Amino acid sequence: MCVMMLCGYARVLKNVGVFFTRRSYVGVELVQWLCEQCVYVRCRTTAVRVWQVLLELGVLLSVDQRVVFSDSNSYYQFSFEECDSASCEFRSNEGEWPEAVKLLMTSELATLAEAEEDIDDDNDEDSDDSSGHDEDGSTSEISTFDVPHFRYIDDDDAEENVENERETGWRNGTDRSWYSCSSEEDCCDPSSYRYVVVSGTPLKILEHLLSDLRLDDQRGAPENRESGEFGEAHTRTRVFCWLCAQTRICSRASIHTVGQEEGKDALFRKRKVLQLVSHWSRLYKDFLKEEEHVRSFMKTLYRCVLEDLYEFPTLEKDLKEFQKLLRRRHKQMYQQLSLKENCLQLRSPQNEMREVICCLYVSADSYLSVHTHLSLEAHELLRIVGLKMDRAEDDMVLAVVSNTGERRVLQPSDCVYSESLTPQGKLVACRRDLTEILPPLTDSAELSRRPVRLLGINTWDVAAALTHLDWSLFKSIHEQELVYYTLSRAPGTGHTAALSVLLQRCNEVQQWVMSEVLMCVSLNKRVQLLKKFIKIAAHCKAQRNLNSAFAIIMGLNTAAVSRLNQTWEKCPGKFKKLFSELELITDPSLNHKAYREAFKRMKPPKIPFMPLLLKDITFIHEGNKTFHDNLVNFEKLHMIADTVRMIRHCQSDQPGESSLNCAEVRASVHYLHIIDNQQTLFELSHKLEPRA
Amino acid sequence: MPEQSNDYRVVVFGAGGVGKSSLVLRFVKGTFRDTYIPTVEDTYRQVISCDKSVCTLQITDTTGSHQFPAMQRLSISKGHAFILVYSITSRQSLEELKPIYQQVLAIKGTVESIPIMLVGNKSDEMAQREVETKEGEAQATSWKCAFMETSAKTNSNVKELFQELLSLEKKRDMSLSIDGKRSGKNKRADKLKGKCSIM
Repeated sequence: MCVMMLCGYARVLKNVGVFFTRRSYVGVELVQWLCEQCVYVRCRTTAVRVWQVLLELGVLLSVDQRVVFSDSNSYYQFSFEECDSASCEFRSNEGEWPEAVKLLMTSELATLAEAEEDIDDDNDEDSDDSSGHDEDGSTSEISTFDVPHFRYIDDDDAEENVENERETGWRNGTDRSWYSCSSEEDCCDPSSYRYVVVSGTPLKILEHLLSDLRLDDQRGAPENRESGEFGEAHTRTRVFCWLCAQTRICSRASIHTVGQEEGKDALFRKRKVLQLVSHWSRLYKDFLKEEEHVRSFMKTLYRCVLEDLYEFPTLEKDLKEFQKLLRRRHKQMYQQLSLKENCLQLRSPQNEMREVICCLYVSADSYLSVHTHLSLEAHELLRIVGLKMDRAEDDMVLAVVSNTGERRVLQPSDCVYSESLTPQGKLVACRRDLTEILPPLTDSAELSRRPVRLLGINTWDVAAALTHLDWSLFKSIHEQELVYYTLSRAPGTGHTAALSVLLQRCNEVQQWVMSEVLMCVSLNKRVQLLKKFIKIAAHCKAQRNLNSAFAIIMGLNTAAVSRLNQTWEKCPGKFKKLFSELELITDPSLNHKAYREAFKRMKPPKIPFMPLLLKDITFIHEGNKTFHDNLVNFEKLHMIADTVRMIRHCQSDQPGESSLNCAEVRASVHYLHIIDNQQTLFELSHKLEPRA
Repeated sequence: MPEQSNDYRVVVFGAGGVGKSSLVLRFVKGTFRDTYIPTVEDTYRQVISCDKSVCTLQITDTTGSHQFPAMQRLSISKGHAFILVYSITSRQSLEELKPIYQQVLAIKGTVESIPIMLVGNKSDEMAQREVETKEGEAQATSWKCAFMETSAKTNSNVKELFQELLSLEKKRDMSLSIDGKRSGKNKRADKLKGKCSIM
């Protein structure tokens, strides 16, 4: 980059023609010339430093093979005259080369100064995490990025992990720059004294973010792309420490007497940091509640700001905002503690009405999947069973079967879900005498009595009801849940509730389709059912609900169902053709190209096929390292953010309100009778059409 | 890029959680780019040598639902070779493969000429082993297919798995390394280089 300077310089010198034809230059002259020509170089010492840097970088060569540039009669040569880089901005604008010098100064020289400072400072400051990997020029509190969860990925190619030495760091500049800062405006900012060597170190990224962030007076600055991604990084890494370090750097910057301007910028940056943290905290508050390092980070940040308050009294306003945030968080923590002690349900109303899927076993090998809410009581559930299974409610009771096999009968007003938000065991509906309501389903006598209600319901209504339900589940998914679901080794820890429900729903619709078809004993009715399901799938696709469309198509494609040749043969050609067309969208070849393209073309609101989205995130996560030596692979985080943002895009419009008040339709879609035993499914299939 | 007629399609089946995706990832990752972008259509493609020219190996991983194996009729009918994955730490996962095998049989008609590989993944987890190697082998014999135990985690036998699968295909002569002739020549060149020293 210093080459840029070279172009201008060499040309000027040629024009002046003062020097030897061999094109060697005298140290004194070089210094003199620089001082005169470049407004940013105010003294000879600075000029000497600039040339020193060029010497070290190999742009300038010392004829006597000296290592240090001296302001004397020693001779120097340029290793090349012209900058032949096509993108060199200074090629055409010769007058601008002093800017390049300024860049050089602010970066390299400041680094030099900083490095000298730090070696002294590091010994004094006590670090939170003492680790071997320190970057030259930064505080020692930045701990190694030892995040247990990422370790298994980054450890993969252990032989690639290069030991990080103290000297490498800023000056070295890795050959892979993950994140390049291209705007000149940033580079010339005197307070950001590290912009030229751009690596993806956390600090660097943070600086970039902060420079992008505008301090608006109104609260809630519009979310820019970076803050979303930064959010991704936040939830899973110790980026918080960086913010802390950043504030410290700002504080320390004020100690360096570089001038009034520096001080003003420091304040500016502090305010930005606070605003960023507040914004981030507001955005992801639920997910940050239980994170230990978030709490400690917030406390540390608070302490830093308090320290700075003395020097920057104007920070008080921002501090008050921050305090509010902290207090709110602490209050929640307090509430959680008291919850554990008293076992009281201090949950907010929203939680109680949270949608869940309740699985109630009605036979040894099948259950009823009931879409309901958390505060469901036993008698309500029994009513649903009675409705669905054509049984007298009075004759039934609800019981919980524990792992040991003992049954505990629930009273009518008992809550199905306990305080721990899970049903207390396997839920079973049985007769009052504790015998099964249904015999094993392979008993076809029982099945032939079973009415196939679905056939009597309008197809479009069913699809609309399915979509409506899926939509209400999809709407309540927060983007972060996807990250949590894939990145945490044990999903379903409460953070991913809405997502889990939607996924379960996808599975269940699939199973439901299979179950319905296989429980239909009459051939003709079965054919009707196939036609119905094919139409429902087509409607779901038309309503842009690909989650259910896929589920139905896959359900019809399963081994147990697709082997029913006689049934399929009786299906009219028109439907078979329609089904083949629908099948195409589930073709996984070329990485689900057909689905991806079709989905891209659809306008929101639309519901994606969730398992594939999760698979993408899983593969992004497992296929790319998060940290390369101490640099954060922000490409990876960008990719995750892009994928996750798809959710936001899909949710960006509200579907029209469907006037679906018909209880029967709702019942057909909210309460699904599902056989979950593979063996049973195959037995049923073979019973319907024995193998030839 | 449209699907070419000289694509060789390998379909990977198995229950949820056995490690299908990890296997595929192990094989595919790093073969042509450092940054792994799973949403791109040619993510699971690799160029291999075939009958003295090249073709594309296309791996279809049927990860549909997490807890429910999504058996897709379409991918079976289009597939040329099949990898059936179970986890040695779960007997259930081996059981769940049976209907899949039946389906392949039903759709393809015969498995005589179709390369099928039964794979016991997670071979690194010795302590939690539920399915002995012998059992896997016995199952493979009864199905008249090949058998291998792998570990995606430790990258054991993964490449061998795909290589073996390719060699099972009788209609074409395929190999993972492209242009066998040249690599031979390269080997010789390397040997020579090692012996030269700069004076």
